[in-house]
This record gives sequence, structure tokens and C-alpha cells, in this order.
Amino acid sequence: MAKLINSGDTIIGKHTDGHTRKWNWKGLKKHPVLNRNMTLYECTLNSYAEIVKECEIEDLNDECKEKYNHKLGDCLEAFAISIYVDSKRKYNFSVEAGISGRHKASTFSFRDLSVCSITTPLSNLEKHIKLLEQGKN
Amino acid sequence: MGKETSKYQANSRDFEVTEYITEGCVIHTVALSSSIDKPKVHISFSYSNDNEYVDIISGKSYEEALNMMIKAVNNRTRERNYFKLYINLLDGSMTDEEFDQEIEVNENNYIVNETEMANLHRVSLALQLSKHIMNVDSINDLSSLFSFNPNSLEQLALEQ
Repeated sequence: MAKLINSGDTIIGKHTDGHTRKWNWKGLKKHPVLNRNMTLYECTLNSYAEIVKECEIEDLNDECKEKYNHKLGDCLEAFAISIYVDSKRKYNFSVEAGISGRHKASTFSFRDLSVCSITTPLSNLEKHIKLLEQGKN
Repeated sequence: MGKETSKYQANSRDFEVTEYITEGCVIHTVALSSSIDKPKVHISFSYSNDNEYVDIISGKSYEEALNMMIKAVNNRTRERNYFKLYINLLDGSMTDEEFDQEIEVNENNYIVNETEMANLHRVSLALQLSKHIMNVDSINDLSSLFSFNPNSLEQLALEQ
């Protein structure tokens, strides 16, 4: 059971619960590691996701086993997380009070295989790319 | 691309001196023209970081940017197609089975692939282009638009 807080940290679970203060439904994507068609949600502002049921071992390929956290209770806590859910249909998020401090938050319970990752803000990437380019020159 | 031009005249010839400034490349050009029916002669001097100059004058930079924009338009169209199909499912125009089958049969029309491994040059270009595209607010938006593998973008963001 690990609590993950760094950019790029990823969990994969058969059932995943969590909450966020803002979310966006981003459509259907081909997940680059699992190679499955999955729906992407982008959660921003005080986001949290936790594995409540572990994946079957046959759901995980070698790359998943090596790079992703997949134990029961593994969780992510970050400003922004992206969640790929193995479903072609949109899940419902329900708004509840008192979850994220004094704010209302949207809670989710994904009952399909889900891959959640902590994402870096775009502005950070832009600054980092500029630094890398300056270093290169 | 920044551009500054000055015009001169000497011995009944027109001289046009231009300085083009792009990221990683500065080009000084003198264009000579003696009359309208004769071709213009261009003399260029440039200094660039890498092969930027050759890429610009050969059209490679332009072609790469154009291809990325085409990819972005197609990926946005795939997203739009999926949401349109989903509306058809919600309003009862199609059944659950028809919805699943349509996506399975015409996968390329609805699903965005995120397989391209990100490198510094491509991401830098994508970030420049994304400033002109609506609603690119996150790394996910960038990877969906230009088909970058999101993990490789994250790795690039952490690279020292």
C-alpha cells in the first residue's frame, strides 16, 4: 500500500475510487501500454485515486507489472491526474460536500480496469523544454 | 518568425536587406533587382543552432509543421466523431450493440492513438503550434492532439 505524489507515478486497478474538484471527459484513446481503447478523464484540483480492487494478473502485461503500482490500497494524491478507464461509455461523477477540505468535490467509482497517472502541468513542461533547449545551445 | 526589412537604391538597382529571426536561426538576406522582368538575386548569410537554416530554406521545417497541424485536425475530428456517436447512443438513434460495433469496425474514425515517442524538437514545435489552437491546456491535450505518448512527455518533463 503506497501513497504516490510524484509526476509520472501511476496506479492500475480493477476498481478505482477517488475524488477531484474539477474533471473533464476527453474521449476515447488507445492506451499506449495496454493497447486497449479506453476513455480518458482529466482530473484537476485536489485529485485523489485509490485502488479498491486489484487487477487479475492476466490483465497486466510485463510493462505494467514493472512500471505501475497495482497493489490494493495504492493511491495517488496530486493537483492533476489523468485516468484511462477501460470503457467506451462515460461514467457518472457525483458531487459531494466536505471531501476536499471545505469544498465540494466530484467523486468517482470506476468499476472497469483503470490506469491513473499524476500529470505535470503544461506550463511546467513549457518552461522545462525552454531550459533544455537553452542547455543544448 | 521576426522580420525587419530596409530598402536601398544604388546604380539604378534596388537592394532589399532583410533580417529574419526564428528560434535557433538568424538569416540576413540581400535581394537585388535591376528591373521588373529580370529575376531577383538573393544572397543569404545565416547562423543557426543545428540544421535550422537548411531545414527552413529546403521547406523541411514548414512541411513538418504542416504535417503536425494535419495530424492535430484529424485527431480533433476523431474526438468529435466519438462525441457525435455518443450523442446518437444517448438519444436512442442507435443501440448499445450498434455503438460498440461501429467503434470496433471503424476504429480509426473514433480513437486517438498516442504512440509517438516525444523528443525535444517535436515537443518544442508542438508547443509553438499549440499556441494557435484552442483549448490546449494540459499535457493530455498536447498528447491527444499530436499523438504523443503521454508517458514519454512526462519523462521529457523530468529529464535533466
